[in-house]
Amino acid sequence: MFQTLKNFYHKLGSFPWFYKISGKVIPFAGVLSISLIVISSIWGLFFSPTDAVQGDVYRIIYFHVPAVSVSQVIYYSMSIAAAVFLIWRMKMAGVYIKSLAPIGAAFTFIGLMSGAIWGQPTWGTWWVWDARLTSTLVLFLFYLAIIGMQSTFASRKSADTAVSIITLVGVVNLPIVKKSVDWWNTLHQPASISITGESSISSEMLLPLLLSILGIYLFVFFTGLLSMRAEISTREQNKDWFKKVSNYN
Amino acid sequence: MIYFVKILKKEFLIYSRKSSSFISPVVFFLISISLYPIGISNDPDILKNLAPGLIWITVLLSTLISFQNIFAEDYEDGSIELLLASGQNLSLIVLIKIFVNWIFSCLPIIVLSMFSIFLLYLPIEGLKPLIISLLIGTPTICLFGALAGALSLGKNSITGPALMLPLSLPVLILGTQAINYSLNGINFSSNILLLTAILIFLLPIILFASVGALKLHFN
Amino acid sequence: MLKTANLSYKFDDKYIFSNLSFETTNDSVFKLVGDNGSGKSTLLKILSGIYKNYEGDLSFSEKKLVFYSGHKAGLKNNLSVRENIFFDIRLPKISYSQINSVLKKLDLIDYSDIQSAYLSEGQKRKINIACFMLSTANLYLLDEPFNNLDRKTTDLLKEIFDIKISTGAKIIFSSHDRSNEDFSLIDMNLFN
Repeated sequence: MFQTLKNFYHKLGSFPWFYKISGKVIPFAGVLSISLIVISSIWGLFFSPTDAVQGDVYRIIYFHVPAVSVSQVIYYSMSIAAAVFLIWRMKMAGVYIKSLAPIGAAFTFIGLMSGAIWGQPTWGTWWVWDARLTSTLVLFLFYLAIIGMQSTFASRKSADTAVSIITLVGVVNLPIVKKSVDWWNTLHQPASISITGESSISSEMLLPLLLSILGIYLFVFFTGLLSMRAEISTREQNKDWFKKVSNYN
Repeated sequence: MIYFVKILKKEFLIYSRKSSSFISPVVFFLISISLYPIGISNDPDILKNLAPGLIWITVLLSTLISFQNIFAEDYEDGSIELLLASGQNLSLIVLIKIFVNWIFSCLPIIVLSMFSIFLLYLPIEGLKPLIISLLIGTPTICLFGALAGALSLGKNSITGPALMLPLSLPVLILGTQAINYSLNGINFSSNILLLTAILIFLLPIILFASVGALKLHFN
Repeated sequence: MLKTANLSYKFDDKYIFSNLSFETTNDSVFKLVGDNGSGKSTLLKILSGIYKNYEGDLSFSEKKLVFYSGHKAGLKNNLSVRENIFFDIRLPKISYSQINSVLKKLDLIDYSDIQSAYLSEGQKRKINIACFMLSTANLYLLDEPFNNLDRKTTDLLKEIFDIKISTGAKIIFSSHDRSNEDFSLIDMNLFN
């Protein structure tokens, strides 16, 4: 068992293996994710029942919830990759962080925007400075910092190291920000509106939501693979294996 | 020892010659403080309530102007290479640089913030927590500035500010809260103690991280 | 004595040079030559301790007191020539009279109170040479010290080389010029 895991880890760290496998997986992931998104959107927008309290506005959750959840999951996965990079110096982890950061930033942005659009008709405000929204905004800032950091170092290795450190700093900082904002709010200006406590959701609404979450996750998997392949091909363009694979000579 | 005294003297001399290093934060602070009443309201009651936050935010933003002073020039002119070649303890040197930067970019603003009693109608009992919280909170912010500066050397990128602001949020909250507490007659010492704890806890960590970040540029 | 064995350095995945071995056995000045990008500056930075991620061995028989001078001189624009030398972190504590005597030799004495921002490139190099003269290190690593120098200063620099060598110090410098008048050559092209 341990040996298989170890073998898998070594394979995962190998650029040629990854390049070969991802090339095969990408078409399936692409077709599957896009069709899932289309199906769940149609289902969610037209066929699932109208919410008794919120009306049709609630349907934005089919974009909002997947976007917010995937933006956090991407960040956590990046911080695991950061730890792997710092401990075992696995180059693939650096590629992973660099490739996924823009995707994560995009989904954080979508999450923030769709949340604001949802918030206005439902709670009468675009934005609330509560712990959740503030920490999502800080998450967006960390994504930007990670993207900006890529170009500040001449050496690829140095850039990957610095970015890994920032990613880990962010993962420690995010809960602290969340806690401190929470604390500050409750002690000082109790939030007049709280966007928490979603009403229990019926299964007819839940099913398309789960489907859309699955679709977005697969979409991230698909775009993540694409962007990692692009990153690998810039980093390894002078290597023999890459020239052989891409018939570049 | 002689070596570190020499670096301290040199840093002082450089900062005192480069008048922009301490004049621009001061000017920035004065402009902002005088814009708030004009832009928001000249009603003393409103300004009084906003004053703690406004002062702290302005201090935070003015450090954004100056944090690049800590390493950027040394990186451009090759001084950091010489420091690395000297084989001396780099963290002590970085500490000296942060300290001198704090003296020139933060200390004048802290002194000037006393004028907020007149300009922003901050009640006199808010003065003590204001000064104490700034004195203890701004070194932490300078530390974050050093880390951000060390990481974003060579290129003008969004990295520095994007890193500094989220890191500084807890300090900002604790600092403004201390002043608000004292205005409402609540004991603010726990906030000051927390700010001190943050400073003591983060000092070695951020120092170590900044040195590491500096070395990453020479790999 | 400075000795390297199988010294290699790679930037990301690309070797700048590899398996470089040499010893500074005899009492001569060592001159690093090689094409652009052959790793002359990189080697000097490794020897001086700026770059630490090398492979192979590097040893110095005495306690290493390095004087490194790179492409960038480390000059502060708003300090005067004299202050720049006085506060140079590579130098031990020195007096103003020592600085003045060195500045006189380099024809910089009239500029000693002028901020270095107003000097020409050649004059800035001379400040670095002044520091070189005042240094008491035992290993000198100079990156292209003869660039931008006039005839007179070039001769002076060669004289100082002799003085330093006679005190037992080692000097390694880099140059584009392949002629080997009285220097021992280390050819970086051999280690690519």
